[in-house]
Amino acid sequence: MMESVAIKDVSFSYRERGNTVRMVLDKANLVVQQKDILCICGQSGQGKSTLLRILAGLEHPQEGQLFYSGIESELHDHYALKVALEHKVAFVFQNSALISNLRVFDNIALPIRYHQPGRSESDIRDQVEGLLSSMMVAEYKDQFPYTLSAGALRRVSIARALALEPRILLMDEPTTGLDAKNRRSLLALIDNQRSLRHATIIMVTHDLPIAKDLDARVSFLHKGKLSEPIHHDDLLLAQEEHIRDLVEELDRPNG
Amino acid sequence: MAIESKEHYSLPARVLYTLGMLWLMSLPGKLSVIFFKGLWAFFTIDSRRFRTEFKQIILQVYFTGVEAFPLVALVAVLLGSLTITQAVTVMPKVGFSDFFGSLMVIVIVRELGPVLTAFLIAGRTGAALAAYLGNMKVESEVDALETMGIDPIRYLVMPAMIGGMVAMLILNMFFSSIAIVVGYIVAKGLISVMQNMLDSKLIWDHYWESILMGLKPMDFIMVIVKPVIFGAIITTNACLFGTSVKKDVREVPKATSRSVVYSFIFVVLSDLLLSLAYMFDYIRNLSSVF
Repeated sequence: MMESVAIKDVSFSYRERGNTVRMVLDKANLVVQQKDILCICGQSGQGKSTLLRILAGLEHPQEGQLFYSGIESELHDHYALKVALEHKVAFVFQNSALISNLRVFDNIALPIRYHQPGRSESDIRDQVEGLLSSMMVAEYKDQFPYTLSAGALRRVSIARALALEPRILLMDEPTTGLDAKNRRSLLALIDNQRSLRHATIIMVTHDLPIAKDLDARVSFLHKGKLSEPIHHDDLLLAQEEHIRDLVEELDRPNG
Repeated sequence: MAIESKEHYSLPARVLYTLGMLWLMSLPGKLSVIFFKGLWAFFTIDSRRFRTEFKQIILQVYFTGVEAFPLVALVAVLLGSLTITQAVTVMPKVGFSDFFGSLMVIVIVRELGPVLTAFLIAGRTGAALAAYLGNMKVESEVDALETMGIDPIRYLVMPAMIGGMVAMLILNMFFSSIAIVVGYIVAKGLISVMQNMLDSKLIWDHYWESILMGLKPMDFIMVIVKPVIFGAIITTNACLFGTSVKKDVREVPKATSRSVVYSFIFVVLSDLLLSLAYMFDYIRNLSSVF
């Protein structure tokens, strides 16, 4: 199987108030194969979202290397643009991050109009409406983002991320705020992206059962260290105590 | 790494490097960087994306120019009336009744017109733009653009800058025209009402002739240069302060007020520098006489 995303000895830290240095990633390594789904778990505040932002090129690590499809990516300004365009990486933000002055339809059409300027409006309309229908948000297409519920916003932002048919999909807490029905439809869609489009999916989540539903591997981030990805069936066999504790905690009904 | 390699360079090179870095970290340096990035984005518009990016510029012209027009027109009417009212009251006493038009050129066209238009646009459009960009930063919308492969400089900064400059140019011309025409109407009304008290006559042909006499070639240059520079200052400030917001929503009002205050300061400063052009022009004309 072909390597899709890899990070090698990546370290990332930032200065907090009081000038103390907070180490988020400490020589982290990760390899994700094509068509893989990887869930990144960990307690709140461990830097899981920062790891996703590094993979999207939005944060620049102080050291280490990043590889997309086996090719090392240089770190420089507008790195996120390069990652998005050359490596076809899309990002689903935790807060949706839809452009507030554009209607739902135009939010999804924006990347298509921008990157595929030769396409006709009717062609773009067909694609956008197809994406909205698949995410069950077609009825909101003429509304502005501020009028939508949290669940609808999430689904629209996923539809936008899929607009350019990404090879790698990064998702930050995709199931937060979704009811059981919407959660099931979202998982079906993610599985569909993997099986039909051969997309690689990396998601940060506290929803551990998602790994089982998607037959995914799980990696844990704890105190700057990223664990080796483990298959969801083997989670309780993990050697690290913090992983077993977290798995038990997240598996509890109210966890 | 960078510091080690820098030691291989000569002393003058290191001094230049340090000065350059200090300049880039200063406010004028940051403003220059964002301005030239926006300008570069305009001159390198991909012809295939021209429709998308041109639409953004038109939207900005609409927001800055068309929507602000009633406000600008109202202030122009008030300023024009105010200036000519003062002139009608004072100028006949010192024997300058025929120079109302020239006064309007100096006060409205040359100085207060562009500056007041800039203040209005800084307070309205500049503040709105800084707040809009600041909120976009807080809500990760700018990051979202980048992850869609859309350069925020091209999508947000360049249209705001170009649209702002074009709108300022148009608004400034409207401001001066409205102030001059309405100023005349108000003055005419005043004179007819207070015929016995005022020792002035105002005839449109004389007024217009006086305006044409007052206009210098430099005015025709400045009527374009000033608003374009002021528009660039206002929108560049708004873009810089708006995009400097991190993740804290409390930074948005601070960025907005800073954008307006610095726009005021830089507009007045650049107006002063541009006024030197009139002085040089005057000195050159004097030397040609002697």
